[in-house]
Amino acid sequence: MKVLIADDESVSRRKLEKFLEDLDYRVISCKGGLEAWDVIQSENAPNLLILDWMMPGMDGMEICRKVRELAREPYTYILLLTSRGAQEDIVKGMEAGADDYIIKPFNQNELKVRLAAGKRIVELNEDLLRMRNNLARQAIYDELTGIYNRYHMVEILDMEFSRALRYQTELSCLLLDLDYFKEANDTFGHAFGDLVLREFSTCLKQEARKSDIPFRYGGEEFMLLLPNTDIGGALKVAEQIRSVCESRKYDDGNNTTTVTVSIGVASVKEHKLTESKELMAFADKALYRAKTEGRNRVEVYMKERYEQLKDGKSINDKDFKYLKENISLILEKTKRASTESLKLLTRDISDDEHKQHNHYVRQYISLIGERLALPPSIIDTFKRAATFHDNFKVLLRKNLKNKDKVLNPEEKIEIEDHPYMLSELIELFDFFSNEKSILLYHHENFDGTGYPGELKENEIPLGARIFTIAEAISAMLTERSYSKKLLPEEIIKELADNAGKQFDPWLISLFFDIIEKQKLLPVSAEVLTKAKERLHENIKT
Amino acid sequence: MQEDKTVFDKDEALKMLEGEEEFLKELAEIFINDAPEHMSEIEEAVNCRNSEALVKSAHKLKGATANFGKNATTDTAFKLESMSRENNMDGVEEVYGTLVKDIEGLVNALKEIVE
Repeated sequence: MKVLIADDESVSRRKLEKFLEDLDYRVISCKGGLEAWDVIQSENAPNLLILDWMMPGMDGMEICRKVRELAREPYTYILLLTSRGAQEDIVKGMEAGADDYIIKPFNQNELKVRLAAGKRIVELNEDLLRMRNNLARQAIYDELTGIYNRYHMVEILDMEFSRALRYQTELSCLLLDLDYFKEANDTFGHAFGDLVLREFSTCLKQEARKSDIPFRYGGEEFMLLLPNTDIGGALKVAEQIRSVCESRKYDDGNNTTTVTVSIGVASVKEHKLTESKELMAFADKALYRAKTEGRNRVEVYMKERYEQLKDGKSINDKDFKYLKENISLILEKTKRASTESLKLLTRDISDDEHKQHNHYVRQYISLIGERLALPPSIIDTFKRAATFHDNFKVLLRKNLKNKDKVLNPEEKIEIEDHPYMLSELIELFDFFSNEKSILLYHHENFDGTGYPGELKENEIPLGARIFTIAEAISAMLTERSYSKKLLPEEIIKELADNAGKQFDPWLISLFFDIIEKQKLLPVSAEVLTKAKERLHENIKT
Repeated sequence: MQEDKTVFDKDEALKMLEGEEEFLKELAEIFINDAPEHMSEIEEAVNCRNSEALVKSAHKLKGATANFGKNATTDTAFKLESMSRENNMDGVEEVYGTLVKDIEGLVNALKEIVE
């Protein structure tokens, strides 16, 4: 450790110098206070000072005071040299900021331990500062990629947002999400995934302009904040990043792959935002749209469509398409979860060869699909089919190798039955197919006068027939803007009148029994009996 | 203060330096070299009756000689320092005369070591 000594008297100074050198300190020796003060202010100044009390130019006490004013890090430990019997000096010196003192001529052992104490304090302080600086860095930087983390993002976003509002400047935000990152991770391993994240961050920094601020938002999501940039400028940057990613290869020496990126864009002035969290939320909505519209694309937040949906106005074709996208987005997660669960099921029983095979099949499907310029969603479906096929096969314990040998008739039948088994299995995933028929046929009438299929009687699925009745009763029981609430007697009459026309009469009769037994409606037995009689007449005719 | 007229105690001086004779020689040389300057500073302060300057110069000499163990020069320098610190300048010339003799003795003793 470096130690500075300042003494204008040369015998004492030399003695101290030699003593410290023998203890392996690196000594910087000063002949007076002014010289010492120059050294103390320089870069890499020593943190241990031994100052003589009385010196011309600047005395020990004055240096103490100035060192404390300077308050450098790490801590500067000061030992004052005083004469015997100078009690008053000691008090003044320590008040001025000295940590300790020693009386001249010093006892060597005493100085040794006092210096060691000083050294210990400086070293402890150095450790503490190192830890504090590490923590400060960790608090704002993402460990893996070295760019700012989410915590810091919130802070900078707030700051830039209020700056934009105050100076009426534009501020744009890109949210970027790597496409199919999880698959790359699963296929090539986490180390490869980390490489992708790191290299993408570097790419993001390179493609962004100096004033843009990149963050890692979470997993494979990133944010780029573009101060003083309008939506047009932001789109340019986004498109640049997207196109660079599209052709960029990630390579760890063993595997090579491309990872595209989807980007959502929003701007403060363009979208008339008043809160910083809106900027992120809007960019996020745009990002979701980029994902649902096939990934590897840039989308800008569109306000009007969202507002219309919120207002509950009737929707046109374009909006209906959009609504569909939104709902399929919910299902996207379920789809993914289903495939992932299936993969998990086969993980331990499938061998590497299987996984490799599936990887190739998916890759070839992609290549052919892209060449045909098929929409990405279709290619995804094709690829998913391959995954289902391979995983089901593993579960059915059908070894691909069996194909090579000549099959006996029994085996042949079994193999040929295979597609049916696969299709039966995939039906399990089609969990809402039955509900579909009810939604499609709930406006069919029992007598064949309904829509859309003009189906009649048993052609109409039972579920749809039940739904129609339940829906009608509920409607009659409640006041609606377009129809009045009916009295119980009126409801009974209505049901009886329409049995055989709109409603399945057999189900209506069943329902009358329920009303009677469970006292569902406050009607007299007489009314019900009359209604049942009418019902029977209707059925006969 | 009790007058102790030790000019120079080599054993004590050596003990303070953990027996390093070579180093004692080095320090002695430095002091022999500095002594005239110490004395001229003190002399000027005495002549001008500048108590502040005398405190500093006597203090400095005292600090230097104390490194050679207990000796008369240190004591006399301390006496000069104390007197001027209390602004008691009557008789400083006399004490200064003693100091001249003391330091002469010390320097001579140190010269012997060096040679």
